[in-house]
Amino acid sequence: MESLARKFTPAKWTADKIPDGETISADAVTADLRTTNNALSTWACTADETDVKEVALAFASTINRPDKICLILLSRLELEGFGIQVVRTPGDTKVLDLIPRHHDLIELGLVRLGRLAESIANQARQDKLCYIFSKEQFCKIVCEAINRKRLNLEELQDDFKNEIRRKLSEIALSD
Amino acid sequence: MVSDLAVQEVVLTWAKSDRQAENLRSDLQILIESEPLEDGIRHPLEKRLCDELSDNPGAAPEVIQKIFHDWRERPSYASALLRGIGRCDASLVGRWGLDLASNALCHRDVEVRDAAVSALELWGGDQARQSLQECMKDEPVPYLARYMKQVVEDLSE
Repeated sequence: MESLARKFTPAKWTADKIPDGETISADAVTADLRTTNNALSTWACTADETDVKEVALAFASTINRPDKICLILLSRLELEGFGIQVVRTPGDTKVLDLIPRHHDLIELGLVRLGRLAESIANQARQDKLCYIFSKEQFCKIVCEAINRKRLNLEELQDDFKNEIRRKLSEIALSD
Repeated sequence: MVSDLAVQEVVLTWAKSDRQAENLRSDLQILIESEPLEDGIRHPLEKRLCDELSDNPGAAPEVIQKIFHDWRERPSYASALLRGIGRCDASLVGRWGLDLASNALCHRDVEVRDAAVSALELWGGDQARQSLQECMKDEPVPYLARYMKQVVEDLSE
């Protein structure tokens, strides 16, 4: 079944923060569900971890410092059941083969955004389809993509580029 | 006998450092409220903290720790501050930062614990690994326990 992955901050959505049946905190919504033009960005993928890593890779060119990355996979069917429209739009990534994976959730009003938030909270509460890649894991994903010529080091930003350059040198030395 | 002038100088120094501490606290609060800290995205908070630590290496650590302590019941602020500290270079933060993050691994709020793990991951090193190793078995939130375990593995390589 097709899922749509979104970057999120799990600490704001855990059962500690949002016990079952209680109100979702506005902090969680304003941190992770900030819309632009009433739309939210997501990436199509399956629940296979290798595929989720592809989505993580899509973010490589938009981040500017080495860090962990957390993703939650949402059911496209469930979202459409909430009346949320899902449209394919070009993704903001330098990994060319990942561009078509990008989808926007569009025309999000308060009610639909609320349903989306409840869906995220339900999953996060059960730790369902939540993926976290440590800084080291994320850097390895990116290094591998560079070595396979799917991504150019020079297209990365600032501190993240420096970190990846250092990791690539370490890999080259160990080979 | 201490002269009046010397006493006056000490009082002025205290007043100045109090004012600096208040300025820092106010700046940090404004920056935290201005935009959420996002994984992988630079935040103005980190520059303010790093500049403070570079410019006032003597006083800044104590002031920052005090602010963190004062915000311990305001987890959104405490976690943002800790994430900002974690983004400063380990050489700038030093031992006090490691101790602060290590202690924060036991904080009652998951956001603060998450920020502590992130800080320790970014600094790396043996003490960070040991602190994580000691606390990970008691971590009740599944995703955070997994993240801690992964970081321990990464730092052991």
